[in-house]
Amino acid sequence: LHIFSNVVIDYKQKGDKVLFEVLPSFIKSSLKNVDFQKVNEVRLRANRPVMVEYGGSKTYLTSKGISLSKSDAVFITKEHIEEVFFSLCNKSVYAYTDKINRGFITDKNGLRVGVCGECVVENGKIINIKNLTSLNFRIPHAVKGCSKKVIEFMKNEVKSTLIISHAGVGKTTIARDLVSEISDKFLLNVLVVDERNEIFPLLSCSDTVDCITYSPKRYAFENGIRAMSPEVIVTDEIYGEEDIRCIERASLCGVKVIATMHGDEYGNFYNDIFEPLKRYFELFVFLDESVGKGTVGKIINCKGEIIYSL
Amino acid sequence: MSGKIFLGVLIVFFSTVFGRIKADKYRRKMDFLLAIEDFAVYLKREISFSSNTVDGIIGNFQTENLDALSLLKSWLLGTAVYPQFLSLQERQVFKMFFDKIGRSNRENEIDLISSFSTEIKSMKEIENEKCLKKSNVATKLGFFIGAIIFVVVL
Repeated sequence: LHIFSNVVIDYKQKGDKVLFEVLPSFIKSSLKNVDFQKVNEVRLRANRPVMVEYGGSKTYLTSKGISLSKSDAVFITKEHIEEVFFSLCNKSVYAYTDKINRGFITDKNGLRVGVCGECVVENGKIINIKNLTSLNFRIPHAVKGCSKKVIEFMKNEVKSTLIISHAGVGKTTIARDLVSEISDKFLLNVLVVDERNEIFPLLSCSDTVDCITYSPKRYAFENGIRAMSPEVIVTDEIYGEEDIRCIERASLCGVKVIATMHGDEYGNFYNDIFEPLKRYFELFVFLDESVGKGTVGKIINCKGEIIYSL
Repeated sequence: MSGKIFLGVLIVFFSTVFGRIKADKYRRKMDFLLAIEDFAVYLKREISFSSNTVDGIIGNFQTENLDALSLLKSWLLGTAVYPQFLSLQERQVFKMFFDKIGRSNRENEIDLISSFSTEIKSMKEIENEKCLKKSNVATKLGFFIGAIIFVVVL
């Protein structure tokens, strides 16, 4: 289940189209020499070399493509970063302030761009980010069939599932594939609660899928359950007590929840947060980066038993 | 004789038209400033109450003024091109605005538009005075010059 070995959806066209629309011409020409199917991230840092995470390795962007050596690397200035940012915001930064204040922008194709800079805080709340210093383009992937191992454990019914791994290992990609699989196989109403608009844009859309984008989970869960009567809710990156309360409420309403979560290795997770979460999830899926991105390393059930190990 | 009268009438006609064209130059600038003032009001309202982007707002803005339209379109394409009839100082005001628009949060955008509107208003007042004085003078002068030439020809 290496997600990069069988890319089938046109993320490449979408991902590089967006990048190519906003990046300065000297970076565009360099990126033309890079195989986009293996690109996970493109990082721009003010007055630093442009870095590309390529097939899991950190590389420098050069005029001829990518290189492990810094010597020929392409550099980017602060002014360039500001121009890229302005283009990403469709020349309307004010229209993206809410997202920017949460540290990212997502474009209509699901390309998520992390933003770093000087935060302006008022009454304990970020109201603006200025003097940008870094942008991180995370290239989304849609890989049909990458959730196969998880689906094997849902023979007769959908099970509430939590997918856990470090950042950039393939949690969202698996969640996205689960949406299609569950919708097609079980013909259940699936509600995608897509806070950052990362899941839905690359979804090979199925007939029973609805999506709420850019809404905080609390509102999306409450309104979604009330208005759309979903049988399954799929959401990305749960974090903190409020998100857990949303899942608790959904479980009480009989709705199955599939979620992803940033997490450490199995042992630490088991000791620290397995107990409170086992009430809401039936399967815990751990991805194993050491074998390859998007690889299911372990699956445990709500009793804590390992039911699959790589 | 009739040939001379015909020529004289032609001269009066063309010199009046020339005077009128000169007068239109002032009216054109005035019309442009009025259209831009309307645009600023529209932009402020949209930014205050919707999350529409500047591109979208310009796309929805309706005006018959071709100078304003061409400025807004050129901004959309990446480089704002300002009408020739703007003075260097006026051009600077426009440049300050069009270089900054869309680059900040909602509050700052509204402040920027408000101060631009104030600048446009004062430009408009000055231009209105000029327009009243000079456009009438130019039309009349065109006619009178034509009439003098007509008398001389006769």
